[in-house]
Amino acid sequence: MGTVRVALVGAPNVGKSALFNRLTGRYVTVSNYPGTSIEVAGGAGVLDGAAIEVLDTPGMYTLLPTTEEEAVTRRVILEGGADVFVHVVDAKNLPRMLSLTLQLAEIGRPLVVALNMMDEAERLGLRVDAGRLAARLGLAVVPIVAVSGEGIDTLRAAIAAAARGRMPVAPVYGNGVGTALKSLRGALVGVYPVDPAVLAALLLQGDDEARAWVRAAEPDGGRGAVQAAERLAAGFGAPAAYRVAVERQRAAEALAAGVVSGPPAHGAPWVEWLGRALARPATGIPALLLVLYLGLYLFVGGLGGGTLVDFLEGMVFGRGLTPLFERLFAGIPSEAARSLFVGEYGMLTLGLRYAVAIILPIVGAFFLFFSVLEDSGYLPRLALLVDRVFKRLGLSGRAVIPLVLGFACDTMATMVTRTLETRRERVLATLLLALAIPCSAQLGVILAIFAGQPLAFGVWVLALTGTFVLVGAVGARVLPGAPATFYMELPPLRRPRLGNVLVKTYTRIQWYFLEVLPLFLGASLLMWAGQRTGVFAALVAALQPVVGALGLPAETAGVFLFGFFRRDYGAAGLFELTRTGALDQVQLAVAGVTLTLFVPCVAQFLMMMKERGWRTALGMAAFITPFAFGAGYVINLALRALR
Amino acid sequence: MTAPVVCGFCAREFREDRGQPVCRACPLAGMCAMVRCPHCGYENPQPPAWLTRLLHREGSR
Repeated sequence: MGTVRVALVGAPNVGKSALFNRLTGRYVTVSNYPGTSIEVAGGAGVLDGAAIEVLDTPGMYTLLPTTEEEAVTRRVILEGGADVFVHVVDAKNLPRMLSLTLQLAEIGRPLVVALNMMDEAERLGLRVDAGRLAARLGLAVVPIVAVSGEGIDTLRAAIAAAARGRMPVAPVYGNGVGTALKSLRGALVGVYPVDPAVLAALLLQGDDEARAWVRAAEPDGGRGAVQAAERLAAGFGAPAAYRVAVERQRAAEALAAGVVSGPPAHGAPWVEWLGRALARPATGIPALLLVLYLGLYLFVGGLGGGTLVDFLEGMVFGRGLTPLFERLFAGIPSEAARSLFVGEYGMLTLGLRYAVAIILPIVGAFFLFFSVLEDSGYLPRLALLVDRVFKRLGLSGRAVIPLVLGFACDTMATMVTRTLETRRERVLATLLLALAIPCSAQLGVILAIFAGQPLAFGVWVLALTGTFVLVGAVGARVLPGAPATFYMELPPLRRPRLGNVLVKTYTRIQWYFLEVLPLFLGASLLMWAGQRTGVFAALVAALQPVVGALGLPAETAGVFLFGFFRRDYGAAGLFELTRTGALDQVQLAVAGVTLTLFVPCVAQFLMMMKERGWRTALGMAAFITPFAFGAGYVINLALRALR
Repeated sequence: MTAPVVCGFCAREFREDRGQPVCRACPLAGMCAMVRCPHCGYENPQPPAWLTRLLHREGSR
């Protein structure tokens, strides 16, 4: 027998490198995996007096790779790059790690599980029954502390024993997945470096690289196996990757049951309970409404849009900067040149004031609230919570990612729709983002406008929610394509860290402000030019009959015009109009709904064309514009009739 | 090698240079400081270099 090759495999940050250093000597080589920029470390060691080679592979979560690192590790595994695999797991997070253990057990090569960081697990009061887990898996499970060397001798002995040929027990999956995998495994008759069972699983999940391997190895060019995989996958009624992931997670949970005891790894039992409750409809929906009320309505709308805006606009600009700018530019003899900087459409007294005094405090409050949610682990629970509703709209819980990001920036979120699984889902999410999801600044300003106006706010919420559900449900029926599925492991709920929250908030505010300030100044310049040339007045005049039909005063025509350049700019204009008392509650509700539903800003529209094609983007704009004004028209009529 | 990023959505870890900076494809957001998680597609804010250096210095004390 030649030199035994041992590969250390596991998720990032589980201590693979520390274990690698324990198992190897001084002669370590680090080289890029062929054809990639991914580094793989190799070293020599000694086991039972014989030389061994140890590979430290890049971190991986699953054999279905999403990163280049995972793809490299998978190639090392599936191309037979090792004789023995050591799955290094973090003992504190054992249940989350066992899904990969099961996948590695399918490889048909000797496997050892190294339960690393046992010292940290014990400090948390966790007890792991390694013997019970070993019996269930049919392989050696060795508790270790790689950094101190504890348990390394036992691990060496386990690796040596495994190298003599001890194979893990093949995992068993329920609900038709196990039967399908067995059937597909039987269809693979070629020669493979590893057990074809692992390729059968990948083939069933539609993996392209596995398909290429099978085509190269099978005598019939893989036709029979690929067709069998497609037939079996079609029989599931849901994407096979989803079904396999769900059954594998069930098997992992069954393996972990009774193995780990002691306090939950991520805090008090009530944190675990809360984590689950937030994702269940009966408890999660009231919790969501409470979060939205406290976070958005009171904090963003009340504090950000009320107190902070009052201070910045009234004190800083009203009493300080605006008079200062007017004095500074008073010496310019030309009225046209002077009005470029100060006055109704001046870059400093309008553009800068909108950006700093209205948008910045509102967006800052929103980003602070959003960063707290993000750092607490709430967002994936929100995804699971809405998954059931979203399915009826042709979307999956995964669509929560772009839709939530849309509340920060719809342009960025439109680009993120490309990560959605099906074309139907991508088109629907793009449409809903353009129509019914206000961006952070627009949302904040609208909430600030509606603070203390419960009727208008209620109408706005109902109209937006109704539009979202109606358009989504109709779209799901009209657009062709398979329904989407969603599956993700829930990360633990955690207490947000102040440092993380502040850094995320600062980074988002900096990004937003650097983007928005030049645009606001540019929009002021455009409006100044439009006003001087009369184009602006002509466009406003053309829009006035439309806003008149909605029961709105003529001044709102300008707001809608601004809104096309920048949603938040339009919202800021509406905010100012509201403060002058130009709108009653009905007009406020109509203007708020119409402006929110109105066509997206220029940047988002460009992104829609880029991501979905110009025909689809134009089609969406052609639908959204009359829909927005139609909704405003109906709301105006309905509210006036009810009065 | 760049520092690892823990995704704010799925909590999985990835290297910053393996994320896909969204600004390259965006028509207006040239200053964007987001990095996309390769596992779930979520856009994570990446603090500016000076703040990252400061945090690392504080963390190593």
